[in-house]
Amino acid sequence: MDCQQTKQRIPEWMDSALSAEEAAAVGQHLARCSECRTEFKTYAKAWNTLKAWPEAEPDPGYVSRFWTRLSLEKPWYERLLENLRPVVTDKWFAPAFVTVAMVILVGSMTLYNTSTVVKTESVISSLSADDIEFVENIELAENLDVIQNIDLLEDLDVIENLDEFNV
Amino acid sequence: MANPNSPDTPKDYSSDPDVLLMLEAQKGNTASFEALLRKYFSRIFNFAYRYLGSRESAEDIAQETFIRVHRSLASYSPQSKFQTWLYVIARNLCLNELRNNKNRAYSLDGMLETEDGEMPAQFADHNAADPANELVNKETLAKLIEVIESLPENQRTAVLLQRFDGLSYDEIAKVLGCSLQAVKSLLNRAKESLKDKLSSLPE
Ligand SMILES: [Zn+2]
Repeated sequence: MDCQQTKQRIPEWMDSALSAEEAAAVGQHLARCSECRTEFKTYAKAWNTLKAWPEAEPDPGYVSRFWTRLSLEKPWYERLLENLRPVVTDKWFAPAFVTVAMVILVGSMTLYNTSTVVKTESVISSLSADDIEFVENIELAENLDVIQNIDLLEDLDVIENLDEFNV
Repeated sequence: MANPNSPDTPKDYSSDPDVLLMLEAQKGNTASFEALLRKYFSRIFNFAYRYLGSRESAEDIAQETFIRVHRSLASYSPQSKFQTWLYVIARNLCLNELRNNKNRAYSLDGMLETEDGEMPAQFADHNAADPANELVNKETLAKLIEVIESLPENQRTAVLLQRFDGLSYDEIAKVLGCSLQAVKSLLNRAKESLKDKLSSLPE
């Protein structure tokens, strides 16, 4: 192997990336050629200087910051489910939980509808000018619920946007 | 040329302990995911820090890398060693950051701020074989930063992965999406630049 071939292969030789035969040939050439040895030493010095670049420590707490960031990336309903998971994923409790939740949901809807129908019927049966205003107030009261729900939705938006500020 | 990691050999990556941890994490094992996070966070952070020169960006990129990994859990199927895949994600995020902040000065903020010319204790090199290497003077570090910044992006990535993260040429080829021969050529050119620019430094 001549000087030019050797110099070309020095970087790979330093990384042990040459085949065994080529590595041996480079080694033999370096042993007898001081010019190529100088070239090698210059490479080695630069490469070692680079390696002396120290490691930095990330700020402690990166693990908890990761989990926080991950949880903030999820939509609110996933976060809610996650909080419920310890309860809901219990092997025996899960079917019971779902059943009870369904019963409560269906039951409350039925009751609500029944009471609304009864109210509406009794109101209609005795309509007067004053009562019309009363009916409008009921509508206003129902709209208030809607307004409060909008507020709730906006709060959720704020929570979702938190990760843009937080991380 | 003989290479123990021939890219053409089909591999079973289940022998990679990190891949096994990923597959455990896929089944919902949070501790397995956290083990990977603890094992690799600092390495990804340092890769990004040297690459971009900003501590803040490096923290963010390291966090985002693991967010992406976690997001991919459901669809994860090992196509490489875990760390190769991790560096593909991190490098892409760094590349985006570089493109989005073309005018931002490469500063390695905070790295050069000590007055006695030595590195702050938190920068102790865990990988240094030689204890004399544990402290680098300001001048050397400034030069290193300058030299790394001056390298074309793919040379910069190849050098950092090879020199600090111990990736094989084959793994670097996968991270960069190029051939093994291209990696050799990139590293040879990078070393040539480093040799020219760093050889003037005092011993
Ligand atoms: Zn020679």
